[in-house]
Amino acid sequence: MRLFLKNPNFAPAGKSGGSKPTSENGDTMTEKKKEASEVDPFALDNLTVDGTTMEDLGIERPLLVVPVTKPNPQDFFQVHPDPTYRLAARVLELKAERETYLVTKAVWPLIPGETKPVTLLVYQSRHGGISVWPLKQTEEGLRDNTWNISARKASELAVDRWVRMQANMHNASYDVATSNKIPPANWPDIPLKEILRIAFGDGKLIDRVDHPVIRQLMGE
Amino acid sequence: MRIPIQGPELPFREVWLIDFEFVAPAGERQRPVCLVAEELWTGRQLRLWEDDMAALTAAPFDTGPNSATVAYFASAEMGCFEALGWPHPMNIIDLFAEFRVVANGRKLPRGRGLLGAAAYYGVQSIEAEEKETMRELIMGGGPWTEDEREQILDYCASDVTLLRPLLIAMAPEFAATPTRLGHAVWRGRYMSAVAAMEDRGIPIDLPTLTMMRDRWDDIKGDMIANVDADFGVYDGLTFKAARFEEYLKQHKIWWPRLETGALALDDDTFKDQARANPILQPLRELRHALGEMRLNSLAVGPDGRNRTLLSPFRSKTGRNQPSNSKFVFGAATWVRGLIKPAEGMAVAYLDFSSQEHAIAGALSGDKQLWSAYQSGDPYLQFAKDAKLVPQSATKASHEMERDKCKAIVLGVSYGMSYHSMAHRAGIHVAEARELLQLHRETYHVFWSWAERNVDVALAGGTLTTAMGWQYRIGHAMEANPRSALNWPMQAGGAEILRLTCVALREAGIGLCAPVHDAVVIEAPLDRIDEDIARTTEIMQQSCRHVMRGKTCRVDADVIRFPDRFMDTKRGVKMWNAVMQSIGLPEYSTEKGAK
Repeated sequence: MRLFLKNPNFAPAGKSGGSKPTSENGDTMTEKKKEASEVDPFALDNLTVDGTTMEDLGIERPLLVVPVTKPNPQDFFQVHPDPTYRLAARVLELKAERETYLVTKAVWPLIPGETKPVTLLVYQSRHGGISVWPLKQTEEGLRDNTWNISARKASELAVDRWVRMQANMHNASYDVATSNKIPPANWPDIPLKEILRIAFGDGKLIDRVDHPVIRQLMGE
Repeated sequence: MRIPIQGPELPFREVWLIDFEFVAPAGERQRPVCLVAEELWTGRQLRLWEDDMAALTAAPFDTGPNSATVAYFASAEMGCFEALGWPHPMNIIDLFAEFRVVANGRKLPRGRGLLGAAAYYGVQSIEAEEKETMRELIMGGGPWTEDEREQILDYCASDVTLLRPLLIAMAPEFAATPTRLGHAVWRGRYMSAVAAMEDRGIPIDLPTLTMMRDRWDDIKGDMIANVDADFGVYDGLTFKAARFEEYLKQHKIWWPRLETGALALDDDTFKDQARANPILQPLRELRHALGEMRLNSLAVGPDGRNRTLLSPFRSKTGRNQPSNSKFVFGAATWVRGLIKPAEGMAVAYLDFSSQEHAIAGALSGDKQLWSAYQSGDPYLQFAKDAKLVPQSATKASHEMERDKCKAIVLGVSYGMSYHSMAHRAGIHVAEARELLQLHRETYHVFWSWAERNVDVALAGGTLTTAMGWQYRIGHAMEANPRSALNWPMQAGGAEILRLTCVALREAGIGLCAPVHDAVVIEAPLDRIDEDIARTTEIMQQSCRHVMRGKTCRVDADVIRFPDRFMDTKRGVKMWNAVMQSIGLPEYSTEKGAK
C-alpha cells in the first residue's frame, strides 16, 4: 500500500500529465510549466535550509590549561579590561621549579615571609591563549623596585591596547611596545573563578598547612 | 500492481525508471540508440529503438508535474532528450547525484558508477566486464544486426531493472522529508541544465583550430625557440632538467626538490616559483602551454562546438570536474582565444566577483567581513580594517600592501596554509603568519564559525549547503582541516552555480557552459545585452537563496562576432606567439580581435 506524505504541498497537482506522448505542438513544456506553477511543491523558497551544519554534536572547546606566568617577552598581550577579572592575593613561588602557588588567607600567617602580595590578572596573547599573571605588588613597609613598577604600568597599558614587554637589564625595568591598531582581544565567557580553578588546580592551591609544598619548605 | 516501498513514499502518480544507450563521438551531440523505460508502480515497460524514438516529438511516458523520471547520471539521458528534441521531464531524480550526496567523503571500493551504487546498497548487478563488452558494441556505432539490437535492448533493460531496487534502497534517504525530496528534484533539474549545456557546447573557431592542429610541431618549435633563447634549457623539443639546474645555479634561484633530490618540475611548483621569481614566468607559461595543449584531445565537433562531459557533482564540494584536456576552459588560458561566436552571434562570460569571500561573510554572519566584500575591494578593505593602511588608502597609493592582503584573503578562501600564502605573495613566512593572525583577529566572527564547522567535520558530523549537498568525512578517510574549513564557501559557490544554470535554462537563455564561478552564454547580437541583464538578475537571485538573502556582484564580458574571447592579462602573449608562428593575424588589445 502506498503511503502518501502528509505535507499538503506534496499532494499530486490537480491535473494529470497523462501518459500519452505530448506531440501536438511545441507548447507542451510551457503548458506543463504553467500547470506546475499553480502548485509547485518544489518552489525554491520552501527548500533552502539555513546553516552549514544542522548537527549539534555538542562540541565544546573547554579551557584545559591556564599557565600562571608573566607575559612572554616575544608575544603581544592584552589584560582583561573587566575589573572583576583581577584579584588581590598572595602567592608562593618555588623559583627552582618555576612554579607559583596560590595561598589562601588562612595559611598566610602560618608561613611568614614565604608569600608575596600580587594581583592576579587574566591576560591573553595574540594567539588566543589565556594566562594568569601574578603581578607583584609592594609588601607593606618595603621598598618598591623598578621592575615591579614598570610591570604594573605595562599591565595598565595592556587594558586597552596590545603590549609587548621586554626586560631592559641596564635600566632594571621593562620596556614596552604597544599597538592600538591590532583588533581587540575576544574574551571567552568564562568566570574568573573558573579560570583560577584551572590555573591553580592540580595541587597549586595551598589551603592547608600540611600541603606538600609547605611540608617541603619546613624540611619535613 | 503496486510495489510497496518502505518508509516515506514518492508523491508521484507515475515514476519512470529510464535508461538510454547512445553513441557520442568526441565533440559531437549524442546519438540515441535505444530507450528502455519502466514504470515503478505498474511495472509497465517500454522499449524503443532509434527509429521509433525519432518519430516522436516527446517522451513516450508522462513527464509532467505528477510524475518523476528516475535515472542514473541523468545528464546522459537528458542529452538524448535534447538530441531528440523532447521536452525534459519536470521532475527528475538522479540516483547518481543522490548517491553522491549520501557517500560524499566516504570510501567507495566499487566507485561512484551504477554498479558501485548497487554494491553500496547491497543490490545484485551484472558484472563490470559484461557491461564493458556491451558498451564497446554500442560505441562501435552500428549498424547492428537484429540479434545485436535485441542484446543492446536487453542490456539497456538490465540497467533499468537495476534502478528499481536501487531506488527502493535509496528513497528512504532522499525522500525522508519533503525538503530533502525537493533538494533531490532540484539536483535533477541541474542535470537537465547540464545536458542542455553539453548539447549546445561552446562556439570554437574551427578553421584556426584545424590549422593549429596541422602545424602543432612547427608551433612548438617556434615557441620553444622564442622563449628558450633567454634560458637555454631545451634540446630541440625536450626540456632538460640538468640544463635547468645549471640555469638556476647561475641565477642563484632556490628551487624545491623531491625526496629523491631531483628538482620538482610539476606545474604547481613552476607556478609558485614564477610568482616569486618573475624572470621565470615565460618559461612557466611555455611549459604549461605545451603540457596542457593537447590539441587533439580538445573535444570539438565538426560543427565547431566544444562539447564534453561537464562531470557534475564530481568533486566533494559538488563542483563540476570536466576534463582539462577536452574542455576549452580546462586547457591553458591562451587556448580560450579559440572561442569565437558564430556569425550574427555574441558570447558573454559572466562571473561572480570574489564569490568565496562573499559567501564567507554572508554565511558566517561576520558583519565586518561582509562590509569588506561590499566595499568592492575586500583586499584593500582588509588592510584598512587591520589598520595596516590609512582609511584614505587606495589601490594606487598602497598597491604593495593590498597585494599582500590579497594573498592572505584569497589564501583563506582557498584553504591555504600560511606557508603557501607566503610563497604565493612572495613574502616571508613570518609576515604571512602575522597577516593571517590579523585576519583572524579582524574577522573573528567568521573564524569562530569556520572553526566550528571544522570541529563538526572532523568529529564525523555533516556539513550541508542551503540545498542539501553534504559532506561527511568517512571512516578511515584522510581529514584535512583546511579543506573542511574551506568547504562551505566552495560548496556554496557550486550550489549558486547550479541554481543559476537551472534558472537560465528554464528562462530560455542560451547557456553554453559553467566555468567554476562563471557562466558562458550566447545570443544573437541584437539580444545579447538583454540576455546579459537577465542572466545577471538570475545569478544574483541564486545567491540570495544560498547566502541568506545577500547577493554577489556580477561582472560581464561580451564578445561580439567577429571578435574572439581573450584573457588579455594571461593569455594574449602566448596566443599571439602561436598566431605569429602560423601566419595568422595577432589579437590586438586595442582594436579587439580579428
